[in-house]
Amino acid sequence: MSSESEATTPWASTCFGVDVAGDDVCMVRAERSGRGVNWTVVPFDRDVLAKATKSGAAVAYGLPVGVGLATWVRAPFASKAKALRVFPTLLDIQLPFPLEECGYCFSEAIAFTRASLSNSLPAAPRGPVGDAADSQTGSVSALALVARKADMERQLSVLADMGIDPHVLDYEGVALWTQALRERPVSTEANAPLRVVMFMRREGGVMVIGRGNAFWSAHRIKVSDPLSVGRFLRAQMNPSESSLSVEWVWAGIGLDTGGSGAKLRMEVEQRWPGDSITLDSPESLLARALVTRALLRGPLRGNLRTGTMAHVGAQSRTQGIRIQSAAVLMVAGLLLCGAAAGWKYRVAAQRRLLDAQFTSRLNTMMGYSVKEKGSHAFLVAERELADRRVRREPLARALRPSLLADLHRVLPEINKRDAQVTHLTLTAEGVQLKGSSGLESVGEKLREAMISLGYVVDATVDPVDKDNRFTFMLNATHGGQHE
Amino acid sequence: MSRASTSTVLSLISLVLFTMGVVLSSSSILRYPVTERALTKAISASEHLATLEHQFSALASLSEPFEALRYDALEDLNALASGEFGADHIEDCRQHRETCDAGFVVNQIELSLKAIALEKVVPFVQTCEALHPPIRLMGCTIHASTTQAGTGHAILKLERIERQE
Repeated sequence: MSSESEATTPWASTCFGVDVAGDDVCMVRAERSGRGVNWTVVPFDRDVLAKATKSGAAVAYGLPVGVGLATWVRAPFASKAKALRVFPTLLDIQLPFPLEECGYCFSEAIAFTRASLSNSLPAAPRGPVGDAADSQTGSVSALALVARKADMERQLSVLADMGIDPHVLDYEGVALWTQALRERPVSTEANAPLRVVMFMRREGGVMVIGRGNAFWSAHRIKVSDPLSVGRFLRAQMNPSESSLSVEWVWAGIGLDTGGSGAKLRMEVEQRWPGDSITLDSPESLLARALVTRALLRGPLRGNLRTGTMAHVGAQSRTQGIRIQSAAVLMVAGLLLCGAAAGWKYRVAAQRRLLDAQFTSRLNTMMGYSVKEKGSHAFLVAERELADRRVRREPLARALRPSLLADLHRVLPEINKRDAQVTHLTLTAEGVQLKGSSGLESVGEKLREAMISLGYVVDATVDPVDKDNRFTFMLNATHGGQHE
Repeated sequence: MSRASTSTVLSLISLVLFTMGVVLSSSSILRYPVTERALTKAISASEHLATLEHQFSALASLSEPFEALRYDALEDLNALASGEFGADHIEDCRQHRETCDAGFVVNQIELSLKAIALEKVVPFVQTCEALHPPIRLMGCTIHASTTQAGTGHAILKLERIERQE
């Protein structure tokens, strides 16, 4: 049961809660503050109320128990959407008068799965929890607030005579229950005692019964009839229960010693003993319950003033909020569309720019307009580069060190030794020498000399010839170091 | 139009716009890797192009040293060799011009000298290389005479870069 309903006047930040009982009017002014409300009891003044309403404040009123009623409807479906569709029909069956004659609303739908059913509170005759049959499939429950339209119109007419035009028609039984829960949280254990909220007025009062967080029922009681309290309590008992453990929560007026409420309290607590609490500021419990429900989201919220009976101002404000939300959604949508389109445009522009730069640079580099694109363009450029390299090779060659330098280095080495060179070939690759000497070692010495000049030398020295000379042949190459 | 209708129409438009925005944004996010790959490819293509540009530029700069030289009064190698070795010693002088690039030709010369004093070869090549534009030695073959010391036969392969006519 952790789901919550929207506040009944989400559009308002200030709300007046009005509790009217005969000539007694208790009015609370509250402002939303973070996750709570700041409330003060203010004297009822119709002019002040009218002025505040004009400046955007909301007014909430709780239909008395008897004029309205609250009942749980339970659909044996696991699906909330399905259940929501059948709730009006189920409610119609429960009511003693046609639903068309009534104003009604449902609180948040509460789903009970098979697992949660086994841990939930025991079923009550009119509680939210499913019975054994539901436990096979799960169920969805919601609290229906109902009142006959004629009764509501009569109530609104009385209020109008007093200068009160409420935006919210809440139900006092449920309002008292949720406020008592808010101010005094309850134990949610399975064997928790029944909680009975007693809200006393001058002549009578309201008795709200539930267990844990679950609202069960609300009843009107008379101060002079304490036995009725017992009757209502016994009606909530399961046949298997022999006794009831009760937690009493008291509020309202006349609870002081000697008051009418105090007398009733003493009598019922003697008959049904249990913990007994008096809430702080007991007389304004209903009024502050109404403002809390109007301003804050929470459990079991509801407004019976809907449809044809809806308050024009509230309707307009609700529409205003819808328009505002739609506008925010529209702006968010536009921003998302704009961001996506902007990103797409930017990427496309970046690609176009890169492509244009690429084409321009390629054409400048090649000296003509290249038709090919992408990797084909690179193939064309690389082919052109290779071609130009071949054509410019003579220019590159002309800039390399001259072979004259090689000649200058090689000839002194030959002249130093007693050798007769008969053949010398000088190319870019190296030097070939052929000659003869009277000494066998000259060939080897020449080889060493050429190696010291950086050549890779392949040398052969033949035995003495007919002139008694050793012939040698040297093939010296640059060994890859010479460009 | 009533306020309720306005809110309904506005809500519908907003919902459509918001859905469109979410779809477009999701599509942009989903396409991000593809977009990134395409941009990375374009950037790497640009880098590859820069390497090619550098190579093209290096090739283009090869002709710069030759631009400054004067080509209106080129030395005649034949005359030069005649002066150095004597016309009788010039066995052959073949010249072959080949177009290279950038308005230049390479003049490949093969000079065959017979019965020359071999010691004159290096000074002759030095003289050739000191010309403007130079006539550079690209290779040589020297056969020393077995009968007359210090003399022989030489084939000089020379090259000169010249302006294309």
